[in-house]
Amino acid sequence: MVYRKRIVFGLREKVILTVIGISMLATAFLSILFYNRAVDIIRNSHEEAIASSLSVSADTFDSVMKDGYLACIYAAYSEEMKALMHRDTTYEKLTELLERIRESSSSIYSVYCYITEADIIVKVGREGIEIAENSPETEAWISSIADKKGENQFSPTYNTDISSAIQRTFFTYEKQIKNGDETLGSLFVNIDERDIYFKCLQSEETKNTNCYITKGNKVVSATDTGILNTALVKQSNTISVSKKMAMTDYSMVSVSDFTAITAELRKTRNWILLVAVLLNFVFCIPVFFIVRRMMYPMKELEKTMNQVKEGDLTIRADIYRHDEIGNLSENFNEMIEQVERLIDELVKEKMLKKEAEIEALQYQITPHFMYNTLSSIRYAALMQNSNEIAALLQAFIELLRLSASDRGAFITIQQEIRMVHNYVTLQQFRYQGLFDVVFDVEHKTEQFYVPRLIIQPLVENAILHGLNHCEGKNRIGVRVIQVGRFLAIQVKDNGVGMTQEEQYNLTHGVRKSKFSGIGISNIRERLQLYYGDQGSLTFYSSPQHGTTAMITLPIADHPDIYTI
Amino acid sequence: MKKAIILLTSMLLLSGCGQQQTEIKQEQKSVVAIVKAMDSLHWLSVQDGMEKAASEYHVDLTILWPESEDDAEVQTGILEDAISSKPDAIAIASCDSEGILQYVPEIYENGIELFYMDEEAADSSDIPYIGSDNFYAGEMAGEALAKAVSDGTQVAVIAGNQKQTAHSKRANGFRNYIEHKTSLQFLEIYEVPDSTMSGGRTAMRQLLEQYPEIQGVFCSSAMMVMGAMKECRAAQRKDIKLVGMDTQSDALTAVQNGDILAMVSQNGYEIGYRTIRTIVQRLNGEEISKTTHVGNELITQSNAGRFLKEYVEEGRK
Repeated sequence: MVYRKRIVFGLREKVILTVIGISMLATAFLSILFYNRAVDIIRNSHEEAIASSLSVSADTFDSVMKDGYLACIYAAYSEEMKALMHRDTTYEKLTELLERIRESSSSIYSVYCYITEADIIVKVGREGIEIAENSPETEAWISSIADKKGENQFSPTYNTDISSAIQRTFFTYEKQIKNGDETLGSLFVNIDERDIYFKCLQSEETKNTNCYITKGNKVVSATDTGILNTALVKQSNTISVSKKMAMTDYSMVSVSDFTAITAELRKTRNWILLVAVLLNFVFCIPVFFIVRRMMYPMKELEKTMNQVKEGDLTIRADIYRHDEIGNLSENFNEMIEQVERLIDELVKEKMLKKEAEIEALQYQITPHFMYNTLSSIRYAALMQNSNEIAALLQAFIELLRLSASDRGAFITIQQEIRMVHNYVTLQQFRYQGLFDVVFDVEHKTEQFYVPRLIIQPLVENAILHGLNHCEGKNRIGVRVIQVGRFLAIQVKDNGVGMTQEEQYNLTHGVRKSKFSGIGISNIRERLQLYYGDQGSLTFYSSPQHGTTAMITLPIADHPDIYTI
Repeated sequence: MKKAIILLTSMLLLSGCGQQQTEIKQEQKSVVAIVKAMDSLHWLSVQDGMEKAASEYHVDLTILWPESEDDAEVQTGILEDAISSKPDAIAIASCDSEGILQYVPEIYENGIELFYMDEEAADSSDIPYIGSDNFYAGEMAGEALAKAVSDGTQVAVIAGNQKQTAHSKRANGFRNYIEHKTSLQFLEIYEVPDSTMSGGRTAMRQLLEQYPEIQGVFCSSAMMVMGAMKECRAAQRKDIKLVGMDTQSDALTAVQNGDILAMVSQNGYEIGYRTIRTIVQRLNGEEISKTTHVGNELITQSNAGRFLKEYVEEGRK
């Protein structure tokens, strides 16, 4: 199989092709329409012209025949003729009379007279006078003409004069010369076919039009004597007009070659089409420039779009005109702006998370070698039987390890509580039993995951700011319970509590110094980051009545659920 | 686009090679008119009127005539041939009103409509007639002559072939008027069989020889009155009042000059025209009246100019 590459046209090419194509179609349609109309008009006027000129020719033919007929009948009935119908030696008077008949009309070629009594035929014609005895040829000729009873007597008999040496083609009128009932002879008036041709047809003929006189379908007079007595051949694409003669049985026929008549017109039509094609090609040039100008904003928009596709969101399409393309560009610009805004927001969010994580890491007390060293110190303390110091170190090491080793952002409640426990052990050592910490953790909550170091800062806060150093026993309660799909973590102290202002500052993250309050705002930020609106940190406090911090967050039984 | 190209191509092809052959045949009703002769202006104007009407009503018209008005034999010969050509209608101004009657059955057998023009039938058949009311025309001539001559004077008629009803009716109309309505003395009807100018002149000479007292003569055709006028002039008898018939320019000029007293108009053109119109009406199946009289008017010196003008204009139509 052969695959042809399909040509893909651009919008511009399509527009140009459409414009050119339609204008071509219109021109072609118009020229063909006008051509057909013109052909019709020409045909009609041609037919009319031919018909009217044919009737003129037909009249000429009829008047020639009428002259012949009248000459024949006048002579046949005249007493002078009747008196000469007998045997004579010279037939001088008869030839004189016949000569007069012949000269009565210019179209009469010859006049023959057959005398029954003498059985002689007297011929007076343009060639001269001939007096001949009856012969078989003469007999045949006479009977061919005389034998037309019941036919139209106004119509001459078309014949070939076989009785003469020169066999001419005649239209012959014949009348019997009678005296009462006795037939004395016959009179023949001959009209030459060539005379008729020159009188009636020749003037009608043109390059494209042939004229004939016909009887029935037979040609009796034409330019070409070769086709006489043959049927008229019909040709295609011709206009044939025929006119029946008034007096005789003959018809005048004109056959025009219509193809030749309309040749010039066809040439004009083709010329128009050719000019149209050329003009259209010429018009291609301005159309090309106009369309290019019109399409310029489109091209520009396409370029801008390509740049945007490459990743440049800062670029904007130029708006040239307030047309469809202008609107398109405008809308595109708006869309790009929106995309850019959305991407900005996304980036900002990611950055915030990173920052929070870094802050959390900063909060960790990490380096390994520190707790390795501490471990050595602890062993030294054990060897010196200083068990208390060893226990403290044990707690500190564990705290450090938990903070450092587990890399994930989420840890179980159990681990978090353990960490808080270790922290509390250390702090109790520091504050020498100034406070007690009570843990109340629901067993089923122990395996739920929470963000690392989410409780520890609250306990630290309670120890650092909430302890009442003057009065007796401070109590800090840490409670974790499940409420439906949520986890509630409560850190409660019975310390100094907070004033309204302090509470406000705490809630709104106003820091007194660089380090104070970091833990609280960090918790809040992380809750917001991980849980959105589902996580919250609330403080309930009043001066001298302690502070309660409350975290609520959705339950997660897998570390990855809320991991970003 | 493809469709458009196909459409266009097919249009071009269709218009390019139409193999057509148009044939137009023109066939019209055919009428043969046989008149008495073509030797007077009257007949020429009859021919004129007929040809005009024939071209207006699209009729194939053949007009034939014998050499002279008394060639009844030739006319019947032509009529026989006319019947053989089987036209739709034959109109005849017969040279022999009686002689024609034997052909009527044959004409009808061949499905040909027959019309009499200018010359009425000799019988009372219902063959349509188009022409003058000849008896009335004779009376008109009598009245005109009676006014111009004094009581008791002798008057005569030079009439054409009495076989022809046109001439005999005119002569009898004249005679009737003179004998019954006036005190004039009616001499005789002098027949000129071929109604020619020379015949008229001979007749006038005879009448002058026979009746030297004669004061008025009515000639039943223009040709004869012209002949009579010539004879009167030659015989120095300018006192003789002549009345003629037919609208013919030479006679009208003579009226204008005072050589002829009056002419009874017979509008040949109108007769010819109306004949063809009546024939066409009949052939189209319309109702026609049996007689169509073409009005006769008296032309005298006072109005000859107008007739002459009309006559010239008619010829130009």
